[in-house]
Amino acid sequence: MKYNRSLYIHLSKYFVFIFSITLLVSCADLDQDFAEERYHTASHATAISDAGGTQGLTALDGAILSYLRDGETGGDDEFGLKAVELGMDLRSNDMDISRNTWFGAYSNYENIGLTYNDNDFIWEFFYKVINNANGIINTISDDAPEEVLVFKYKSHTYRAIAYFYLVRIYQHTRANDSEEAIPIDFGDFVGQPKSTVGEVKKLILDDLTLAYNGLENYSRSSKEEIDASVVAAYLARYHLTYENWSEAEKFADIAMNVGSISSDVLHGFDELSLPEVIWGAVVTPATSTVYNSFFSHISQINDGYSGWNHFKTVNSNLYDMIPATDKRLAWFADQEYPPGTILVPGTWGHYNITPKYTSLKFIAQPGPGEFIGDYIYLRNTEFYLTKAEALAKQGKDGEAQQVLFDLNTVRDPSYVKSTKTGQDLIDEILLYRRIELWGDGVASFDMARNGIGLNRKDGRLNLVMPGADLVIPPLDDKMIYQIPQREVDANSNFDE
Amino acid sequence: MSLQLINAQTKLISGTVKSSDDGMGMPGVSVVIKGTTSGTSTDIDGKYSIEVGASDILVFSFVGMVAQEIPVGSQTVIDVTLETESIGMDEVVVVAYGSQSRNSVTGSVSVIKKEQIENATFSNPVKSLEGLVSGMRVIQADGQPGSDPIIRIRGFGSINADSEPLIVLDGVPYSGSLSSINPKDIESTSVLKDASSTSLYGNKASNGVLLITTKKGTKNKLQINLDSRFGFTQRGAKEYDIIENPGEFYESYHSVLANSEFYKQKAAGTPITMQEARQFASDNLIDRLGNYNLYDVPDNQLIDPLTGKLNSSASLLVKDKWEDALFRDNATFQSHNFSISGGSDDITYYLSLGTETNKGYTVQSSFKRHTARLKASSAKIFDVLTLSGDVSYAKSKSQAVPSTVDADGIPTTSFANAFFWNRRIAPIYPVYQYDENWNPIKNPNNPGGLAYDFGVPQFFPDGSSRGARNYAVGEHPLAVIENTEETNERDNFNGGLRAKFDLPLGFKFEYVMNYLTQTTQETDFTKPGAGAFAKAQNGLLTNARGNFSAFTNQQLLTWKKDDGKHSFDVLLGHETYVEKFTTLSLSKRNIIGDFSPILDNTAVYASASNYNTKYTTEGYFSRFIYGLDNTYFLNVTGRYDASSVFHPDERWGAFWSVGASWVMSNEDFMKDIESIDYAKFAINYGTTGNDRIFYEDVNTRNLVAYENQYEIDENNGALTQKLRYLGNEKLTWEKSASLDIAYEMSLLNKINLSVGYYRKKSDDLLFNTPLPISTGQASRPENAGSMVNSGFETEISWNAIKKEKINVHFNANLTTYHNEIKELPDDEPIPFGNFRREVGKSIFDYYMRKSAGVNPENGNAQWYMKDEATGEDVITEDYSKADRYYLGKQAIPKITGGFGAQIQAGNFSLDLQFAYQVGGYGIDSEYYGLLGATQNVTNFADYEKTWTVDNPTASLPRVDPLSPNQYSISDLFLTDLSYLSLSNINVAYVFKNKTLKKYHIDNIRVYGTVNNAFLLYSARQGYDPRLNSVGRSSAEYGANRTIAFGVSINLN
Repeated sequence: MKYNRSLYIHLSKYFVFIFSITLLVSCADLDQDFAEERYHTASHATAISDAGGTQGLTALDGAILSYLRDGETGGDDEFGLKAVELGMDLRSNDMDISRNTWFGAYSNYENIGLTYNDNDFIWEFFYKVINNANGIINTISDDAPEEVLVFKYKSHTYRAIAYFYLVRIYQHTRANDSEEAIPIDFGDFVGQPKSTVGEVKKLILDDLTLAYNGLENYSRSSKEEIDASVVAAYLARYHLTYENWSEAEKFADIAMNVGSISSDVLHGFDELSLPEVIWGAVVTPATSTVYNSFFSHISQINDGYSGWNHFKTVNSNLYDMIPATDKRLAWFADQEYPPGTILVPGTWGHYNITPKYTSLKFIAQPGPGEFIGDYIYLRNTEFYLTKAEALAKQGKDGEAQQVLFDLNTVRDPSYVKSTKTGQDLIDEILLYRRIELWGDGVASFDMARNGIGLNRKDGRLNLVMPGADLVIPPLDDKMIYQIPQREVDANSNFDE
Repeated sequence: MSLQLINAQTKLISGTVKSSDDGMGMPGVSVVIKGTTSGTSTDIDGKYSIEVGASDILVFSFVGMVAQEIPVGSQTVIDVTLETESIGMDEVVVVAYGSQSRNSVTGSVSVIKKEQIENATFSNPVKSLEGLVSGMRVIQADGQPGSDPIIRIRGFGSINADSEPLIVLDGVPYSGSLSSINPKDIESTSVLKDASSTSLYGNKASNGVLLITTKKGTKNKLQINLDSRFGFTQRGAKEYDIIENPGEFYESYHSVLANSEFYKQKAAGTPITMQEARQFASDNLIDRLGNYNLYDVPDNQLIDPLTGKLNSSASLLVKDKWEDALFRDNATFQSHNFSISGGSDDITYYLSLGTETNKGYTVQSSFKRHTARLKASSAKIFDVLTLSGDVSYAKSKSQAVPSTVDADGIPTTSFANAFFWNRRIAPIYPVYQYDENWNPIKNPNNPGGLAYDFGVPQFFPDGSSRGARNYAVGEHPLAVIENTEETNERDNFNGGLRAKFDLPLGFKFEYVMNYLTQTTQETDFTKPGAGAFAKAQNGLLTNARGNFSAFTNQQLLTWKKDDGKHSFDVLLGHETYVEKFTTLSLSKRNIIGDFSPILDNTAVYASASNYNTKYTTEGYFSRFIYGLDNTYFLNVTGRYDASSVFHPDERWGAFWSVGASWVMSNEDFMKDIESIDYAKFAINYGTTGNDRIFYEDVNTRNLVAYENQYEIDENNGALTQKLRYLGNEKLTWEKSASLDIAYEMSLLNKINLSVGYYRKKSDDLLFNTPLPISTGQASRPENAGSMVNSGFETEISWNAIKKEKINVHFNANLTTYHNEIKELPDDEPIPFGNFRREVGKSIFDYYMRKSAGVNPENGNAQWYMKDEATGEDVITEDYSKADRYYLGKQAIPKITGGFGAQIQAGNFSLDLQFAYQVGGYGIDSEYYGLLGATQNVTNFADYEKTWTVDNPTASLPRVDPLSPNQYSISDLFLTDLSYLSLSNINVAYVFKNKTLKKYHIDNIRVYGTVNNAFLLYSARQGYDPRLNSVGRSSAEYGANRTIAFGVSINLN
């Protein structure tokens, strides 16, 4: 085919010229798409909530529950609420650790300083719970349908729990209501000044009361969820701590009547199905945080930290006070055992020795190298003891003796109902509190509310970490944590 | 008619063209009659012959040489010697979207020629640039072969956004892996530093630009190169002076225990004598060390409590060393490259193939790469169209040392990190497991046939026991290394197409399309033998795939006109850029056997992850250059850019620059100055933008910074949704405005000198403003604050001796840095780790607790605090009471630079290149952290510098595992960042003669090269300031030294 070449070139030149002008003004698509997300965007979340239903709220609520369980990943001692509880127990008179490793800084009171990771973790952990709860509370109006309001009440509970820990960790439990404590967050991402102890306490009580009333008719689908009995348990703890005995008695009664008491004490406290459990979290192979887990640190016969040689032991003086007929004696090794001994019936031999007084209370059952055990946050037996103490404090000694008897006869068939009265009865109740709730995260908080200091030079014979044989009076500065550096630095309301 | 006329007057001219470099004949030199297209080129010996008329002028030209014009006249033989082109008026510099004459460049551009990159044995083409260019810091960061260095041009561009420069490969923004570019394929690298040169890249250029230009073929010049080199890799810098001898460690730790006990009892009010403390130490030493006694005497008799010395009759029973087990001195290196290039009048081509295997000095680390590159360009089709295309493909596979760095490339503190471990593990803890008589226990499943000591307790039949090791029980990095495959396989394909049309009225239109795709396959395969957890899970396997692509479209319209007096160079352009990434990874555990990293061969699902990201930019830009008399130039650029990172209302930003240059040597008053060959003064001012904000605390870009972002996860099967990052709809471009003044000159045809001043002010910084943790979130992205980077730069090169057989060349460069924060959000100081950002200070100004030395009474560490009543500084031994102070010290070096020498004598050449840095302070937390360990027993260095009862005037506090704050971080940790390194040594001998020529061998070059040769000076053995941008020590993969010998053959 013939054509005029020069014309072709000529035409094509102009064609290209026009073509290039067109290209010059062509545009790119700059908008983001839900198919192209690194994280779930707010606009995506809004699109979902606009579509109706409670899927978004369920997910937000589930995130708080799993965060309470898993915490952070910054170290092997940040596994959520149980990590805080284990750490706080290691600050008490009743639990020791044999070597200085993870959690050693709790035992020797080193991590109270403002630059320590543990301290930063505790602060961040609870404030993230608070902020996530505020995120839910602030988006649900009071006239929302009942199934939506349930999420709001649950969040009030999470928030109250978090503040309750914070106010007792960063300020003395017996501090005056007028003393400065910690900031109260409103969920608006603006740093706040410190509120007083009284203001924080009021917020906790208001939150728990609102939640209790709101959830009274709510029935939960599993023990992983919050319901009125969980709120009652925290109300009982709250009133016991701040010495409102009648209210403590009232709510302890509600909490203690959840489930029943198990006569088997050697199941390892690793299952939510245990009838004593009020509230907890399920841990599965998929959600196990491996070495950064409660059972890695406390279960002697699992191949974690405790089994290696960071043994968690009971204060031998406390051990010696457990009656010989009490089943709870089996929670602790009664002598040093060589490797390979089967210490807990139905389990396995461990490669290491087990020194006398080592804890055998908590065992994750799947096997030596796994740390898959459910986390128990609340057990009903605590509230038998709470109710008994509240009754005794009100002078209702007979009722108190009966409640204590109801618990102890399950643990010790030979237990004889106490005939003690007054302070002696209270002391007996408190002793059983130390025994029954050993390792459950309440020991150091009990010391604080009862005005008891630390004394590791009490002649104990169990293994104590070098450098942790401390004596600290109850209202010493070391008994509370300093507000972490990161908060002080970023919060313009704080003086340096 | 005319044809005959010419014929009638022609005669035959012949001659030889030689190179001034070596006096040898040059093949392929173009010999053309001026003003015509008729001509020839020289043959293999440099000879030519051509028919010309007596009035003709012959032009002899060759790439890289100064062209010569010779009137024919009455000559019949014309021999020519061509000189290598030096800086001259006609030199062309690669710049943004094209090239410019050097005269018209109104800013600071440094060009690195291929020779300086080719000789390096680094797998990464940028690592070899350390110390070569003023204003550019190349921070080695990681010794893993193939890893990318940190590059900083003129200081720190931003605070919470990316400070990496833009890489432009053959004119197109390149966001693939740098190690996918074979250094042998690089023709030149230009570093664009000022606004005038970079502003045209607008959105991406605020941290400077690195232009990498690859080689191409030359018309009528066939070149074939074969290059093979072999060598080995070893540790490039020494470890800290830690204790290597078990006896010495027992003695030191005995002293630690004795002093600790002495202090503790005194503080408790139950003082004991030092002798009692020593007795305590002797009795408890082995227990505190986890029951490891490597000698043949009873535990309590190992150290004599009277002298603190090792029992003289004790003999050591175990002598294995972690260093020998984890590292190797002679890891092999080899690379082979082949290239062929050439072309005819119609087409040019360049093809290269390369392969490289580089084993790191740490057992199991390695890098393998195969590269191929083809570039072809057609001459004018239909006289209007030029087409060119290039494709490159690189396949690499790297095997990392497990757990050395985290996902962000930050060195980990994991016990599986071999570097972390080797530094800390006390020499009393053996690598291998031994029975009660210290005979090695066999394990045929391990490569060496010996069982590994994981530090777990051993109980022997005789009732004795050993362990648990008081350090990282259950861990063993060698077992992890040998039972882990941590590999990254990368396929990088880059294809570009350029079509250039000649349009009416002198316009040219160029369309450029480039597609880069990079796929990565990562395998993390932990076999059951790696340790306790892997054993319990019966192995873990993660396979991850990543797919990255970048698609660039450019439309460039240019117009050039030069009438000898006025010159115009105008560019109008449009660019769209789309970057997409998608990743998918899956983890499972319980593996059958331990051979194949295949997910189907596993039993239990563990986790999966997938996400996609997209990043789009679009820009319109223009450049206008006007020149008068080739002496005065004006350069104006503008760019209007949009980024998908910002909210639709905040997307667009405008950037511009104005620059002027004055070629002073063209002026009459300078023409008379014989000594000055060339002088140019340039000044420019302009703006660039930055949209590369990171997520807080990580080096991952936030591509939807305007929205709150949630993390979706699961809670036993149910959905969870948690707020992860706050967004900000108002967030927009960070803008930098730079002033650049540059003066360059050539003297005596020997010295090239350039000096410059820069001042870059960055405004509306992309800032992750920290929030109090009590708000539940750590930060919120904002545009806030401004800062200034400024300094002087100078480069000098001096051709000291320039003779036929001897050529000696020196080069040096120097850059000063000054950084100052001008504004901050609400002008509140913002603490950041050990720094505090405050107006008037630098972004890396240390704000730390201040050491007040050691209490000579008891060895306690002391710090300063402000007395609230008096405001005076007083001393405290309570760390939590100590106050922080500005120390007047910064992590920014005052001066950086390099110098080097190239010596050529006959066929022999020697190149040396040094790099240096002066001033600034880094935190040597590794060194002091060793002394301050309270959890676990660790090794340490310089124990004799610490306080003991016998050494009360020591400069360092008492080492005391029971006193947690003795080595809490303070200004004591600050260590001088200055260093001097001999970064490269190259020696070569070139064979070139007539005999070789007969076999079409142009030359044979035999050479040896040492990269990262020696760290000649640093403040402390073991502290390598080259590895981190702020000099903070960490357990990183230290620098690799590679020593290689090679031969390179050029054929034609």
